[in-house]
Amino acid sequence: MRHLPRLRGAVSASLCCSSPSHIRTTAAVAAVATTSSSTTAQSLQRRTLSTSVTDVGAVEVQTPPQGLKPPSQKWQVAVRPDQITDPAYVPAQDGLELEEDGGLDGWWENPANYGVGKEWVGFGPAEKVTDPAILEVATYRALVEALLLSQNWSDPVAREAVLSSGWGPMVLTTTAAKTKFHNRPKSTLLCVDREEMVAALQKHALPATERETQLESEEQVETAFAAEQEVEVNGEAETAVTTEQQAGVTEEAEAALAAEKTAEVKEEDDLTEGVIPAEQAQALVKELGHEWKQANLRNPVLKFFAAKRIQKLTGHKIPDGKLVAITTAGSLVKELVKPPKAKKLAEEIENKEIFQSLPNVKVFPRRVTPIDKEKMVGRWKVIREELERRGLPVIGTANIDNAIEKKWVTGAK
Amino acid sequence: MAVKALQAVSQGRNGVGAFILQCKRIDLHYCDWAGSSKGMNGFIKSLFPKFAAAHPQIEFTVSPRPAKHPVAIGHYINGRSKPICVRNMEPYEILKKLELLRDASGEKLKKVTKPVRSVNESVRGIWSPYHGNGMPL
Repeated sequence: MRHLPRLRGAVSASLCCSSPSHIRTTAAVAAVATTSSSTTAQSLQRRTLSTSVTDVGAVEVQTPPQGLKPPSQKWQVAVRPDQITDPAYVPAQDGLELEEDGGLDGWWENPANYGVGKEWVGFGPAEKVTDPAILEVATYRALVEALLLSQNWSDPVAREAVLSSGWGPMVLTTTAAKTKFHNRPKSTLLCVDREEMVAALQKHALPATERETQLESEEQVETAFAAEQEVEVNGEAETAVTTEQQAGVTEEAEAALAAEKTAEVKEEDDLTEGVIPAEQAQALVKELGHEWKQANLRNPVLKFFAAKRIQKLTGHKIPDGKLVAITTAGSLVKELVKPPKAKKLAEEIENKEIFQSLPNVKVFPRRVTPIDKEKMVGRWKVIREELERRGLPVIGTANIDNAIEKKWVTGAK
Repeated sequence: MAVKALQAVSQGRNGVGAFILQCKRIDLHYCDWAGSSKGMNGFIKSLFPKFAAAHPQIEFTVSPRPAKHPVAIGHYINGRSKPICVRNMEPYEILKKLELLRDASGEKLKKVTKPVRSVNESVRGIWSPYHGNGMPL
């Protein structure tokens, strides 16, 4: 007989999961990650370009999903039966008669408990931009940003100025980059003067007062979050009487926090990722011209950054295999601006005009029916007239059944 | 006595002068949805244009036939037709089938026992037991 080995000890704490400790655990892990990776952060950020605005020294800290409400851990001690004064009290005879208080009933089904954390937020827009003018402008913007950032990545002011600039200012104010594109069309992309670029961008970036208010609101949110964590830690240790009040306070704080975060995210989206109107994009395309499309695009870091930025702006993800083959700015635009794929073969043949020069090939967009064949030889008119003259149905069998002999032969009922 | 020419109706001998291809039309049917038509759809886009350009004497029609397997049907000048189902075939396999349809005569398939047939009379004439010296037994 085979003996199974027994478990020698309890399951390790890391395997257990409890809702209130979840946030603290992730924060602790993030703290460890911060200390271990802070030395290499500088070098890593130089090599990998990110499209999100972060400080040079800071490492991304893992935060809990916004607005997540963990199930409350409150519990009450029932009053002893001999101390109950209510005359209407009838003791339960069965477990089913007991009233249920708290628990996870309906917690998962309530969407309000998840907040924004439940909503899926993709890297780029969910729907791809299909307008050719917008795509072209987006490509130009991505290229200019990639060009500027690859040379000025270590400068936080320049980086923030580039990433927080909108559609119009980014494209229009980088006249220096445009000049470089135009003057040396077939050369590798060159960088513009840093000071010139920052000065141009800062004119169109957020006004100083707005930026300050944004920073202040971020600080407030962080402080609120820290306070919330403290409340939770205390709440576990204290008795049941105080937990109810604190839970109420925490819930309010969470709701306020979620609302603030949502508003902040929305503002950020409006600021950087709003899609430019098609008319404005067409005007910009005319202004930009076509010479910049001849610029070489062989630097893989630059190309990757541009592709990542394009995905963020337009929702188009360029596969790696195609990204390797892209060598000019024009080919990048061509990769993005494509007519929608035909759903039917006949449509595709018509679009590509494959048999345009062949007189012996005839392509039909739908099934060729027997009636179509009769029409092709000019017999259908005669057939219809004769059928109508005899009082027979022109199409279909009307109410005329099959021959009775068929039933006799097949034996069908 | 005036010499008179023998009156005879001319016989068609395809290939002696001009060669007339027996296949006059080929219909290609496909389905947009079904997986068995994948090869046929690819063939129509890739290899078929060249094949059609190389055979201007054949009329080609391409039409969908939804929810059916892809078929290539050859129509011949003797009035017969020859359908071939090309389901799940690769484009090059379908090209082979089209070449088969092009080269076919349209006749029913028969077992060929004598590989050479001719409408020409034998120069030696038809053998007769009543002519010649005979063989004394």
